[in-house]
Amino acid sequence: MSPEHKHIVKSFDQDLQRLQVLFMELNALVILQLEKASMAVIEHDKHMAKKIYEDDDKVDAIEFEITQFSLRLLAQRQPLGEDLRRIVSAFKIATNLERIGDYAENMAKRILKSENHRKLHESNPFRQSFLTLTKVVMNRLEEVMKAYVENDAETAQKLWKKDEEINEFYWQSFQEILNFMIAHPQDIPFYTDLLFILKNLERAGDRISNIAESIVFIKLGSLKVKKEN
Amino acid sequence: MRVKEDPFIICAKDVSVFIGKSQLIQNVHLSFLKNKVTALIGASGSGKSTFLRCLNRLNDDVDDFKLEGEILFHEKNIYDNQTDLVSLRTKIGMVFQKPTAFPKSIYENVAYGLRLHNLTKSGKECDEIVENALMRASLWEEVKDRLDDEAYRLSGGQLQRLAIARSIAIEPEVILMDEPCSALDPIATARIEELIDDLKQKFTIILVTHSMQQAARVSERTAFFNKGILIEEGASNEFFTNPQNELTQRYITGRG
Repeated sequence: MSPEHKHIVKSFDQDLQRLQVLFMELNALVILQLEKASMAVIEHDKHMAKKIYEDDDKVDAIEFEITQFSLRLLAQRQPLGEDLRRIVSAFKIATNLERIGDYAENMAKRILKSENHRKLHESNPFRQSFLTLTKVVMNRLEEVMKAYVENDAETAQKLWKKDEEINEFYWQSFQEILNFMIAHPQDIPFYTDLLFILKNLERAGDRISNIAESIVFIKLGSLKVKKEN
Repeated sequence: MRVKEDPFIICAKDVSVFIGKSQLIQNVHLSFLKNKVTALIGASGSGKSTFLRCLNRLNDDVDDFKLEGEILFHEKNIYDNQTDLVSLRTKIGMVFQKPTAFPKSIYENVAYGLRLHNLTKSGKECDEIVENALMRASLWEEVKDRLDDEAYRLSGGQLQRLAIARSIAIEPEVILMDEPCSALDPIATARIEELIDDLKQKFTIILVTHSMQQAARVSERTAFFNKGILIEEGASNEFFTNPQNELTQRYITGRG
């Protein structure tokens, strides 16, 4: 729908604007959590990990606020058409963002609980793989939420397809780490932790893909533009 | 060989309506499925009520009214000169926006149509038809002990169900409803909506409503009128979540 067609009831537009602001807050927080998790993994920073663990409550609180707000919008506005799709999708998108927050928290927990973890030094052959994957996930998250705000189904569709790249990168790293573990059995506990951490990033990629799918649905009312095999 | 039954009971073909020089409806093609509820929606002045009233020729008495095109009921054009209007209106009944009762008893209000159309033979038969109509209109339990009371004592919701009972007593095939719930509270509205759901087993219902939520709740098909033009018609399931036309999208989401 063309953006110039505003709702006759102006406060409905303001409500939808408010929903976007809440999503931006949630997204900024989740990206920060991922960034901190990345640093905590590299530096084996337990203090940072603890902070991530504590801040997960903030992520949950914004997700809850979005849920409550969307419920109110459903009851109050009784939306139809694209508005209905947007508000119903808000529940899903908020859940997906919250789960990405949980993955950052999972990474932090592993650092806090595992006795095997240590710094990922520059000399570590997998430091770069980990940093690359983290960066890709954070960038994708930023892009997908930009597409959400701009109601840009085309970009969302591209990002949806790009999830395969994250999966491939993860499996490639997985295989390399596995081979490394076979060659260096004394490091198995540490690299097992790293595999779990990478798996969390791969799962975050899946969640981003879900968000992209929701954006396509909001705009088109269907999942017409199919994922290419 | 079995002849396949036509799924449509009424087909409007290229219908245009004029009152004097102004055109109220433009080239509408719209067919109505048997035993389904079709909702007509659109802003005031969109032509939906005018169109509804064309379906049993209620506009005939409007000065300078002219209809072009055809409205086929069981494949016969109801605007043919030979059409018997009284007979047509026994087959296609109407329930109006404002529930009205004749200044008579509850019983007589339902029996009125039967007497008008000479459809009863005996008092006993009339009793049975009235009871049956009141039961089908979900009003029987509330009025069975006071059938001789004046109808005006009923509540708005009861009056509307009485109007529906009056309409179905003469066994129409189609019931036209023009905003039947606009004057009713939510509970009375829910009763009518529940009733519509029951009635479609036997009748075809065409409903004009301003409430899109109501259209979404009770109808299988929805048609959207804008400035006398049929913009979009389709399955209600899709219509309210994913309409295809930009104007429909704007209307159902409340955009200017």
